[in-house]
Amino acid sequence: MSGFEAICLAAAGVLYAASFLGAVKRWQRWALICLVGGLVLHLASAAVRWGGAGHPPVFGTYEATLAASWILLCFVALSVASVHHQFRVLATGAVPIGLLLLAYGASLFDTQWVPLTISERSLWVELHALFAWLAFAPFTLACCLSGYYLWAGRRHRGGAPEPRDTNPSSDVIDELAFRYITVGFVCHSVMFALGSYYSSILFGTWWRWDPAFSLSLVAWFLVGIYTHMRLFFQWSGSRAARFYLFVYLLIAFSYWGLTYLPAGRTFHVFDLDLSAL
Amino acid sequence: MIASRHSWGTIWTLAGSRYLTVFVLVMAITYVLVLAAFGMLVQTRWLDIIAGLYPYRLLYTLFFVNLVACGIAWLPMVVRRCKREELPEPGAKAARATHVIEVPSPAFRIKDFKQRLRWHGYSILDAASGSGFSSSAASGPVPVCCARRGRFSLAGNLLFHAGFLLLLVGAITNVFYRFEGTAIIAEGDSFTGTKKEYRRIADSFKGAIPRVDFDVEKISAEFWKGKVFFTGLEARLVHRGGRATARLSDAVRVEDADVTIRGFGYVPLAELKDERGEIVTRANLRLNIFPPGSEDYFFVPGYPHKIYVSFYPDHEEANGKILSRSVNPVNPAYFLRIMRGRIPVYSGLVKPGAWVDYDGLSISFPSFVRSGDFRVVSNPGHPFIWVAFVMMCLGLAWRLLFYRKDVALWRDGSGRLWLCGRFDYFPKLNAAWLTGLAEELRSRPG
Repeated sequence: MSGFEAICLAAAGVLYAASFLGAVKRWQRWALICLVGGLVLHLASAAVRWGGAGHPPVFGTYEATLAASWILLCFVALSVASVHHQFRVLATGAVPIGLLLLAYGASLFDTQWVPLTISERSLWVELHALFAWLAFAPFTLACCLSGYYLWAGRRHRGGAPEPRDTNPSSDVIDELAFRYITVGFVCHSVMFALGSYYSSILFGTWWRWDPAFSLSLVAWFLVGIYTHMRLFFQWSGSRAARFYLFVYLLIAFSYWGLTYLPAGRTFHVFDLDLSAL
Repeated sequence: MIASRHSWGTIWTLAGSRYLTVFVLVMAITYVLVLAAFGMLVQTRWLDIIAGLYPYRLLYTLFFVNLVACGIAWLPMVVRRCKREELPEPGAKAARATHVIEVPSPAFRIKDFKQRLRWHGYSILDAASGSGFSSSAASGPVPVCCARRGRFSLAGNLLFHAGFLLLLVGAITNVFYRFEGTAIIAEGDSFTGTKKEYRRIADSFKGAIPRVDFDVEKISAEFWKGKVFFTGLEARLVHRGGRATARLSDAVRVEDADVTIRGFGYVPLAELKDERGEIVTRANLRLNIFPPGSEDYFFVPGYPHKIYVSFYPDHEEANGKILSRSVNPVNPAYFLRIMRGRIPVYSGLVKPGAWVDYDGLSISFPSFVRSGDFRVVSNPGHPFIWVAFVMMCLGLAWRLLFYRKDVALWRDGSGRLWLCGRFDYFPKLNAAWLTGLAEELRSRPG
């Protein structure tokens, strides 16, 4: 990761936040330029790393933060620049999350690339990781929207005026959160299928009660419940938003918490200490 | 009889209810969380045992009963809704999920509107001839343009849930017919798949051993800086189907089984001489002596000795300890411990080709070859499981991402244009999009 991309992304975050809170529309264009510039630099540094290491940057927590933040910010840029250009709240919430992910990976984990071991040398595991981050990004955006929905609702009840540029209504924000969740749900399912297929090659069995599998399955079931509650029991609004924020906690743990499990309990931790060999 | 029929009806209704669906999902989450918690404390094989206990069997049963009952209950509704062809009409504004927007008649560019809908994946239907959509209105507004996408998307729902049933078939097939065995095979050796050739066969195996027959032509391994960190491990196999390369991450299909190489090692050739100096035994020893320092043992039939062997491919002695500088076999040596009952009769380092004398016998390890720890797996249920996963992913994407959207443009008796939309999901989001589209197409000069 280079410092330039962090600066660009931070500038984008600040400009989006300023345009959201100050309702200054012309800053949005600059914010989008900064965001796209940061993404291009991010992609370039990832490509350099890919070329050096010989594998896509998806192994180990640091590389995971690179992949996750890039895909998350791509989702933001595409959403903001195209169909939902008025959703500055999306960028205001998600750009800092992307930056936090980068900071988390760069500050707490080894940034040196390590060679892949034999269990990681497969296209299947790379596709599995790709779909994992493709699921994580919309889940995170849905979390931002659900959080915003609750925040705006509280402000509204408290008599405070809504931010001036809440162009989309609360109902639309609520539905958009659900839409991102459905995209995440589909990608999460594909990730499951690919992971299961790779597990059958690696361990000879399609399912193992590894904590990574179990937690991911719990997250999948929770999203399943959320979907059923919305479609069949007409859950919406703050009730759905509150429930989803709870679901997202578990989703986030299933992605980022595995590295804190007791050593050796899951093969899903790719942070290697080669000096210990 | 009537009461009994009524009771069965009630049970069937309960089995197919959405309340039971949610209950089963909550139950599943609780149970899987229990397994996740145990997973941090015990080995995976214990979790397999826990997942097979009666409370879990009850969960699986409820899950599939609910799934089948819901599927049967949905089927007529799915067929009915897929067949539905009515247009979203201006008069049905109050109807659920129908949105009506008035657009200015002269400025609205219908051709561009159709183009835009096509770009968004809609099929434009010929409203004038009445094909495709049908309007329930006998008089009043007439359709100018009709478009639709995702007509059969509801079938995706069935496809997704049917995938679970296929998953069940695959999982049950694996429970009864799955085979997993491991074998240490040296470079140049043949493997014919007989029971005695396996080092270990999974405890749960109940069926016949799969047919598998191959020769190991070559084994190659790459280590990172000579340390026990594999960056490459592959075995070239020759079988009836030809030559293939097996890796840990890439199985080779050999007859009825999949073969992968999951470990590496060295197989020493051992020679034993008796008191008269005649070689009585010569054999390749398939031992677990990799990584360096690992100890395994063997017996020579007819003799009471238990011979423990460790292998150091690049050995050195430091402070009385034997170490291996790397895993490359550049300076190999064996460490032997020979026991007769509980009595140690020999302990020491042996170089290849050197003879060790004990109890009137002599043993030597003149050479060694590379070996692989191979896994042979037969999972007859896996094809069902992969098809199930494909069905589930496609079904979910079809239903949730390509859901049904009906759009129609009407002209009423006074010449006013009405844009109507009906959407399976996200009605407000889609209505906002439709409104934006209408705004865009009237704001530009026509």
